[in-house]
Amino acid sequence: MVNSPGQDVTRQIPVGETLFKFPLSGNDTPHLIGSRCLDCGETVFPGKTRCPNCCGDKVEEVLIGPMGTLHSFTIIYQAGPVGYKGPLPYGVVKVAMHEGLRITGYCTENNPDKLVPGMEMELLIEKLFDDEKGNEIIGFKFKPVN
Amino acid sequence: MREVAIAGVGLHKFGRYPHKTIEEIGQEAVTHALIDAGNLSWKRVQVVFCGTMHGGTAAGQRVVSHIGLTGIPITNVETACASGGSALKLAVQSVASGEYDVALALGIEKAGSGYLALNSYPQWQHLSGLGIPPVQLGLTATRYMIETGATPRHLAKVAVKNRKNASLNPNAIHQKPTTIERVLEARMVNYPFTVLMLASPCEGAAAVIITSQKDALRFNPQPVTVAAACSGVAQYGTDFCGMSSGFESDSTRLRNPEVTTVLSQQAYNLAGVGPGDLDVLELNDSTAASEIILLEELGICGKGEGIRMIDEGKTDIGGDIAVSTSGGLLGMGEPVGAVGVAQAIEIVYQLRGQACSRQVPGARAGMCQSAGAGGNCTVTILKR
Repeated sequence: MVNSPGQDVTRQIPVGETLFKFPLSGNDTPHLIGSRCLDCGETVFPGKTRCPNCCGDKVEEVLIGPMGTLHSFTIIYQAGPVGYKGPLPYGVVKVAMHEGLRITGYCTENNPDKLVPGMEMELLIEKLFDDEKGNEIIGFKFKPVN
Repeated sequence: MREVAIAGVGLHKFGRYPHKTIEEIGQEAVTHALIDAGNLSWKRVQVVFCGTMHGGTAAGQRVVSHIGLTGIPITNVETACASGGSALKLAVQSVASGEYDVALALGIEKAGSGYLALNSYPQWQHLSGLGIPPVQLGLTATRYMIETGATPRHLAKVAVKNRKNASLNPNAIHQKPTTIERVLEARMVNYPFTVLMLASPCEGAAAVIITSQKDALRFNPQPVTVAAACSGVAQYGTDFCGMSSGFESDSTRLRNPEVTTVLSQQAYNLAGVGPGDLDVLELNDSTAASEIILLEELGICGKGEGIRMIDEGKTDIGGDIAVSTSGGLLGMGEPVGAVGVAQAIEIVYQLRGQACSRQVPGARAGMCQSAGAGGNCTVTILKR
């Protein structure tokens, strides 16, 4: 839960302000926030104010997800020097979203044998790890749908 | 535009030099290049382009300040792992245009071991575990394996070839050959790569003297013609454009040609040679999979045929087209900004017949390709 000032409760900090809606309320399904070009129709994530395909400047905010299919994957056994402090190994996947774009993100599955191209993947917004101050770092993840 | 040539080359051996500064490493490469260009006086060099990713403020100026402050323009060039290739392209352009007669392309780097520290990733990607170069390379490799049936054993074969070539190159960081079993059983860094399937970031420098084709013989008895030097960035609608600013989405609807393909077509047209005319290739083998994928993107073979080329030894020294005779990034090492210039130097050695035990007999034409974060790419064709 998000705490009020003075409360001795873990804070939840999203990895970015404009990537996804957080906190989710009630019946919200997890979505990413991208932009769609009103001229050529290309959707990109993270959102931009101009379209990288046709260079047009008429774009609208669009919600992406929560469903897609697995395009590719890797498993990280050695963490990078900065940023991520969560468990190892972890998966990273590229997922083809129904909105016409592929998004790279953290994956809940770290066994390469359980990741099959074309399988359905679902977007989650949840804790990636606790930082050194005890805050929960919140990010987006993909999870295979069983 | 006039024809230009490489009239002198110099390297600082790739490796780890905790007791040497980047200026000292760079200076040594420049000194060797001047000697190779017929003991060229520094006073005759008119312009410098210096490729480096981590060299810091005024990196090229700091090297040159130890050689001679003659007042010439020095421009530092950063296009990630393609920095050296971009510096070479700009030096070639500066002479081809007629503005200068003698240019120096320099590449310098002191990169630590382990993951390259790129600051092109936004903070949210570091926090999400995405901010390390092999993530993108692993995703591309896995997809390639899914589509073509390539296996980790194919990747291991590339690593073994490049380590073998490196063992024949006195300027390589890795001096010992390895075996398929050792590559496959090495520590996993990220699927599908073991540590021996990944480039070795390290330190080193490379320098080449560029002159007009007409002047080149005055400096060197065996000048090498720069037949094409092309640079560009991955366009939207490609796999590689996902590297444009850390990780960005790519399109499932559009499939434009990858930047390596676009630039190689430009280069083939400019040089008047086709892939079948090339004897030697130096590629940006960030990973063992990169080399196989690049063979296809460069039109050396068709889609999915790269693995057969590896299986049949066609890319070995003595095969149809020798790939990464220097050892490549896997074997010679990856001092980032120096790589693009060093690739050209290896081709020069091959075309001059000076590559010793790794010589490809009768080599007449060669190509180098470098690529990196930001979607950067360069392709250069050299001819005898």
